[in-house]
Amino acid sequence: MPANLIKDNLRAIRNWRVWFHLGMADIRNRFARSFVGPLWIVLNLGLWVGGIGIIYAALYRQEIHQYLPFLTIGFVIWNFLTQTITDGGNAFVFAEGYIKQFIYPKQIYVLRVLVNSVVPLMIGTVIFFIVTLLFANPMGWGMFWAIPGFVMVLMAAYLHASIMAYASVRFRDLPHGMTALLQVLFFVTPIMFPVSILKERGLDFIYQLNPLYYLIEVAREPMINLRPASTEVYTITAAYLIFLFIVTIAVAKRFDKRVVYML
Amino acid sequence: MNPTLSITVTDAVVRFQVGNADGQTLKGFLASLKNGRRAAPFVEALKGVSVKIVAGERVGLIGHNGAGKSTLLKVMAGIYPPVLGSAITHGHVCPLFEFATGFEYHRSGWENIRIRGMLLGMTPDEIEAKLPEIAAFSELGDFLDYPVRTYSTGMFVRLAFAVSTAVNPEILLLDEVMGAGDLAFTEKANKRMREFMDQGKILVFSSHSMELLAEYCSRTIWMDHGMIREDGPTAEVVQHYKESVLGTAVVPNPSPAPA
Repeated sequence: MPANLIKDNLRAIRNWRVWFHLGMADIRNRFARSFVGPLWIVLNLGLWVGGIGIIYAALYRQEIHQYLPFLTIGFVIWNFLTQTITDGGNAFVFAEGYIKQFIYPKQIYVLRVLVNSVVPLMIGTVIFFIVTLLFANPMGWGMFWAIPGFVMVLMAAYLHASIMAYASVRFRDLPHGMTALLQVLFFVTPIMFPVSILKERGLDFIYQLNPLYYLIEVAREPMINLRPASTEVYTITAAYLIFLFIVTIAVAKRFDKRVVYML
Repeated sequence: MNPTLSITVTDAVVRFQVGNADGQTLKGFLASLKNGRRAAPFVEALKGVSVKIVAGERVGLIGHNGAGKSTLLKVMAGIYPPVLGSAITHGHVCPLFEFATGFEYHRSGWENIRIRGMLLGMTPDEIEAKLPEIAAFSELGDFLDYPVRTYSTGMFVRLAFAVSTAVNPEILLLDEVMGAGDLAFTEKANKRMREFMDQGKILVFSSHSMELLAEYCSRTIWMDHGMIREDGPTAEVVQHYKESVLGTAVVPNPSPAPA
């Protein structure tokens, strides 16, 4: 790993106040002059889970008290993962005015995107607990297994966003392409339906080829079933993280110095 | 004074791609199929520039538009990494390059002061302490409560200028920033800029004002087509520059213009 990348990343983390502030400002900005404000995050999710949840529980013949929490947490993690991918693609492009003028390491603009997306993730997790309580579903210490899961999700999101940030400066089609791809991917990822449906029909490959499924599962399983996710899920997630890490370094090495010229 | 402060630029080469490289858009790609593929054209903004500036030095940059003054300043700041060669700067750099970009348009003036202050390296406590002074200097009054998208160009300049000159600079890099805002503000800004420039332990600035150069810099670098044409005592370099621009020998000033 090149020394200047390590140095830049450390400098970026040390300047956490800057990106934290920028990220929080983005959230406030998104809901600026709206009457309901950030409460929209709650309303949006509530409407979606309530509406889709009731219909699809019937469609997939799921017990509603199990299905709603499952849908909520899966959807919340999915949103986090996709938002960091698509917004990550704009991290450097939108920060052009800053990058050309100030001397902070570029990574702060990636971390800013992360802050911006973590807030809905946290709000969504709280809503998951509310739904779980409403249906009097079991809660227990096993849920703590979700913590390493969420750490892995966060790491993946940072790496996704970094790759997208660098690559999108050169390939401006990338964020558009990813948005299109992720829309399709949503319907084949076990979020609205349990993975067992795929297994029963011999369609295992659909989730097996989808790293986002494993990233969801690694945090969802402990939240729903109060136990660690399967070894298979941990292994594949870890392997995927290593893969992302290598790609991130390759992309950053290639583009880090060129970003400012390509903006 | 911290003697370790320094700027060392060695054989720096900087290239800019001109326009969209062929194939960067679908339209361009199709056109390139028709017209045959060409290498992406680029402009060499710096063609191997070497400069060493040490603590206590005040250096002026002159040269016609497009000679590479701004690019060299951005290389010194670490914003443009050179394609070839190197640029190593020791010390906290305070860049003052643009006053018209780098705002959060939907946030209030206050919020933009905080963000800009942070990006210039101030801590939140420092910013809060300086907030009233910055606000007073900007003379924006109630406008600071409004989102900056409602500001006029002149107001942007006031805001950015007030924040940027509130930091404590070690290495100060300025790009033709004198004469910002309306007439009344310009007067005030010039005064403040002078105070600010006096604080810099190293000062490098580009200017078309020979008086300002003579007043501030003992050393001046004349940039020409991405190269250093001359680097030496201000009076001499300015003299040669004027001769070159006017095409004739000019009677040298007996002494640098009075401050």
